[in-house]
Amino acid sequence: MNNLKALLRVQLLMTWRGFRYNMGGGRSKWGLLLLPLLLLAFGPLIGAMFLLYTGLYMAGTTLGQGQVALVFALTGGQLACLMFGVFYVISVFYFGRDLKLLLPLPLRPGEIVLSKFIGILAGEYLTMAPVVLPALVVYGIFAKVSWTYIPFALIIYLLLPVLPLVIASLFSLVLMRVTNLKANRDVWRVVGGLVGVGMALLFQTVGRYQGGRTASSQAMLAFLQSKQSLVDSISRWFPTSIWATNALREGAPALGAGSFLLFAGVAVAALVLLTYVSEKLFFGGLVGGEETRASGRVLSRAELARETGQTRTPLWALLQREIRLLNRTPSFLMAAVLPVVMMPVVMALPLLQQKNELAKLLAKAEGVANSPLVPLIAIGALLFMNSVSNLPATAISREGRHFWISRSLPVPPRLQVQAKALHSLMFVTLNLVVVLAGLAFLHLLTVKTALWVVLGGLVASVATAYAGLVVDLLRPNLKWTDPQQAMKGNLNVLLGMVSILLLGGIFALASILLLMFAKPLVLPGVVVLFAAEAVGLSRFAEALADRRYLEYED
Amino acid sequence: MIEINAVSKSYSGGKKKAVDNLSLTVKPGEIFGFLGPNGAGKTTTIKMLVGLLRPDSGSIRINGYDISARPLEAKRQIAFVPDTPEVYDRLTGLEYLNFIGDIYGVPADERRERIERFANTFELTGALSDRIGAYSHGMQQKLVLMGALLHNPPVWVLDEPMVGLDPRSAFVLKELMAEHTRAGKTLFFSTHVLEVAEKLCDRVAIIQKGQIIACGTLDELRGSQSGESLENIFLELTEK
Repeated sequence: MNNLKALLRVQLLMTWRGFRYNMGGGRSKWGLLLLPLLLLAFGPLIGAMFLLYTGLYMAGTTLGQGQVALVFALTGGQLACLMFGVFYVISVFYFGRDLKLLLPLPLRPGEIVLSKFIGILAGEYLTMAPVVLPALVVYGIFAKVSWTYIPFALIIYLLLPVLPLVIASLFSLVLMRVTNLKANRDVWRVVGGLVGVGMALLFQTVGRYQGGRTASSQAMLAFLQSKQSLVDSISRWFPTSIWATNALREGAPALGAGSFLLFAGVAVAALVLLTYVSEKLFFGGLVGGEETRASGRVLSRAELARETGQTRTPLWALLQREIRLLNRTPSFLMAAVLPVVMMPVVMALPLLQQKNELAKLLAKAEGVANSPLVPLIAIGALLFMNSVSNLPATAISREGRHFWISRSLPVPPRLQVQAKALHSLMFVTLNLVVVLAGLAFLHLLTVKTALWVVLGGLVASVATAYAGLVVDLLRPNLKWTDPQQAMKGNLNVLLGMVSILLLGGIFALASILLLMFAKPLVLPGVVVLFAAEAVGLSRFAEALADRRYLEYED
Repeated sequence: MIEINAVSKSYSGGKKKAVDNLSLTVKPGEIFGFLGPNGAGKTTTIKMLVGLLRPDSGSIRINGYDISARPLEAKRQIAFVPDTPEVYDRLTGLEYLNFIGDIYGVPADERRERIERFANTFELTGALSDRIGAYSHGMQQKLVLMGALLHNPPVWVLDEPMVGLDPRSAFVLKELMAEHTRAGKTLFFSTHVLEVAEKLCDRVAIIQKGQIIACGTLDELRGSQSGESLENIFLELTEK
């Protein structure tokens, strides 16, 4: 227990210092410039969540099910923890640099895992906050709850991520133990992680299917009036949400005590199970986790001549380095691939589940295929997808302790940034393919539309890549101890998203104005707008790189 | 040639002075040893020398190029080996060397010849196709050395280069260092191993609390007390 206390103190201290460093933009004051942007972006988001939950509560109360807002929020929070948990857990459990210090100490595997688990938990409270807290507040305000609601809500919030994170941890422990025995471990881990996310998505899809259509409030009301209540259908997949909801709903602790004890008991039992499984599996998955054995294979002169015979330009060499380092670092690759794979799935799922509406939509599509609105909406969708790509906004941060190499190279920093932008573009171009495939699926893809989407999309993607890079240049997070801190735990991902959404806002405004006053020029106008943004942002990012590469001090 | 002129550097917003008005010149053909206790300012000086830190004041010129005004030209003159050889552990040794070769524009023939020669010299031929993550500390040190020397630069700046090297590799490195300066080139290195400094260096400087407290040939440092070891001189000077 004493060991656990000491470990926890260190883990929480590291999480807190990392958070402070992350928020403050390191030693540079430049990074602080972006914080108002974040607040600006979060205000409307939180406001929208309040409105959504208020609407849900009102719709629910007409049928005596006001608690539906709570069920939605608690389930959403747990799903988010489960989906992203696998990658986060693997990275923190197995790839943290502190493991080298912890392993020689006389600590039990369960103690190490539990302390790291609680460190992750602390980070999840922030992630869940915009999804869960507004619902707790909305319910607290509108429902007639007693004062005991507040401490209960707080404890439930603190315990909420435990179960999904334990599930993610157990999956990761088994995955790492199994893949440690195989060749090509890194590939197995990425594939395994994606399978984990796939399972979580499937889980959600089945849940949604069971739950019926939830896209509109009318559909929701219709569903609430049906025999099987929404609350019951979700409870099948996430009973913890229901227990927590019941505990809060009863209003008095005496009435909700049973549900609360059930909820808290499951969380504690899950932690006990995690400790037990860690004792059995953690070291097995860890030994040799990061190490690879030297092959001892001596290259022949012919092989050496072949391997060294090809010279590349500095730009190509830098790009190749970016590609290799990303592809070979499972935590980076998983975090980079995940949004590209998930976004189309998440966007397509609601459509696929509503077959009748889809058929009606497709019938109408023929008539609007040539409208300039189609490429405009497609480019908008692309911008949204680019905004969730975390590659550009972490391009400098990912270099971490190896950044000294880039800074000592005799090539201009602007060239290094160009290589990073090209690398990001390679990834976001996949988004373009997905958007075109989506248009084809909806029978909206004409040659003209495709040309405008490709042209506008590519130029827009250059702008978004540089927008993310500007954020990371201003406040790189180079002091990470496990790779996930450079990706998921990096505030720059969020700031990058906000900056790209700002570009989206400008695009939307320009499109509306052009549609109103110069409709024939709307598509060329949008392309020119993005081209101007791309040129401006790239010049700014390159000038910033030349300056900032000299300023960083480790 | 290295010219450091009145260079100062502070941390924590100027509260902690790491290097204080430091000046020295290392001439071509000279092995220059940079000594000092832990935290004296050696690594800060070296980082400023190679362009990883910006001096608060003063100037540094490498073969005539100011490291602040013309950093790219200055960096082309330098082979730099840091005290902790942290390189991309996900690349193979050969991929790292090829990357460095591409960045410095080393032609294919020269690159192959040097990689082969250095790999034989440092006994790394059996590890070049492996990921750097599989290397020991000493092997990483050797790889960083190979990368630094690949473009045959005129100025070597080595921070604790012997740390982690096995006796044979340390011997080879000392030979290379001597060979380098015999060709009229410049070598600046920091070390805690005073015997190495005593045997190899033409001149040494001792830094303490960011200031040079002694600089010159060993004979000059010994002054009237001939025969005194560098260790004794170091202990006496740094005790004050």
